[in-house]
Amino acid sequence: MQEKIIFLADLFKNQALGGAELHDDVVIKYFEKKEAFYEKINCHLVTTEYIEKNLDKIWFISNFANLSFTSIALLSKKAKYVIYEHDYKFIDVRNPIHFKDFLVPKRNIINYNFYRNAKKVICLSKMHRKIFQDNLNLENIVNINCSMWSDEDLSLFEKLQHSNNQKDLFAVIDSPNPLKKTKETIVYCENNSIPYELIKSKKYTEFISILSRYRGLIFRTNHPEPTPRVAIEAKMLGIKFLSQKHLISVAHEDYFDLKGLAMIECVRKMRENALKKISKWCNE
Amino acid sequence: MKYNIFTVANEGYSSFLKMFIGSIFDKIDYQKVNKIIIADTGLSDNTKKYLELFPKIQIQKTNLSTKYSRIHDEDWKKNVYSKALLMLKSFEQEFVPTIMIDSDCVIVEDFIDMVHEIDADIIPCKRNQAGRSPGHQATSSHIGSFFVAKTSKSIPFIKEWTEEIPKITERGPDGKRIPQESPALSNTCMKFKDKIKIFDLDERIIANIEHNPPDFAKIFHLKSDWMYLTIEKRIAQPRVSNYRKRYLK
Repeated sequence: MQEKIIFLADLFKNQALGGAELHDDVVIKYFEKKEAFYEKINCHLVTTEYIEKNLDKIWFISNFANLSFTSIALLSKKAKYVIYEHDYKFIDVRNPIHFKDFLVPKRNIINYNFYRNAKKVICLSKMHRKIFQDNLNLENIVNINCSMWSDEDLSLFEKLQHSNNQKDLFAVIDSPNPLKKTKETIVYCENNSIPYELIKSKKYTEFISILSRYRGLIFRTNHPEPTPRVAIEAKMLGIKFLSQKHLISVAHEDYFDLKGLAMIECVRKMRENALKKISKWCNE
Repeated sequence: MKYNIFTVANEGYSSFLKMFIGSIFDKIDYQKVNKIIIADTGLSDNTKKYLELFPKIQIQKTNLSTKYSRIHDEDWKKNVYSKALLMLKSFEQEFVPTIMIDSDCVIVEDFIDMVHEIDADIIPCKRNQAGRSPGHQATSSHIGSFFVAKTSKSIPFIKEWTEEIPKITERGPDGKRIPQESPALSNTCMKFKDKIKIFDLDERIIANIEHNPPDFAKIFHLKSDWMYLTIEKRIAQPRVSNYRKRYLK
């Protein structure tokens, strides 16, 4: 890599432990290792002056809900940037579920030229990309095939392969975040006589360890998930993953039938391929 | 084919202008846009600096320096009645198909493909009674808030339009001031109806003034009416609340 990268996101791993932040951290570490990393900055701290000072860098833009409209405009006008998309920020309501076949009426589309002027818009799976492509019809939309995990995290999944404490219950994520649909999932389990327990932890490794003790994970969602990470995490642990297939993007990937060590190895290989692709896309 | 988008504004309209330019950036495919020309009739340096953050913006100098402007006051008239003339000026070096839109408009949906598919030399905006207060008496068949000069055959039309404006009476039978720009446009359309191809585009689609606009409206025109008389009220009207939050934050 020749040009240095500024990594832009609403939040980073040290500020929140969401899927996007965990995923982004793997990419940041990769840029650091390749000595391509300049710095990371929260979107709300970006000013037009900061942009003007750093036009010689490549901007790697992850979640940008807190990026000011003028910064979006100026980046579009002057900067070389890649958008690393974790959801659907081309839609004013940020969720295509409201529209038949996920085809969004033109009047609901926003940020059109921000996406158009990007070197690449990187989606996280084939289905995620298709939704972007069907709506924006741009030539710069590409995809990787999965979220990413660090080697440390993958080692954890390896260690937890044969947990002796298998509970004959399904886990349901206990979260106050309405997007996580805890209440709806409970109702779903009760209506379908699925034995379940609520699980939670603020520590990622602890959460995964807890999850490994269950027969499977019940996951309900109300938007087409670009991956989601927990689907692959359940698969890497070798436990069942039950959800609405039409809303789970990775369920449409070729590798989704894998589980346990085979899935871990596949995720590792996909990560290496994805990072090489990202590096190439940044420098094109 | 790429189009220029053309508008005129002074500092009094800066909030409108920010919403207008923001919505173009958000909604219209810039691949179909050559330049966005803003004829400056009295913008502040700060506003110009803001506008220049956006791609494809060109600020056109004029010899006008106006302030806002109550409807029909002298500065308002200078602005409104200079629009067509300033657009003509933008053709001096080379004719580029141009879409003239009032700066108190918000783009809610890309309309360039629709304009592109229309086979015409000019596309004026056809007045529609929808959204007007009961008893409103129309003084024109067309509205000057949206106009497309699609081919160079539009040039004599626009010249005629600008010459027609001062011929329109300034006062109605009740002594109240009446607009001149739109009646002049209507008269010019009549004069040119057999000379060039004219396609009337419905105001409800392209410069909608209704408080509850239909889904097919592509541009909202935040013109003053009996409910929204001041700029602040026009910008605060509910139908543009999302746009206001996004573009004027």
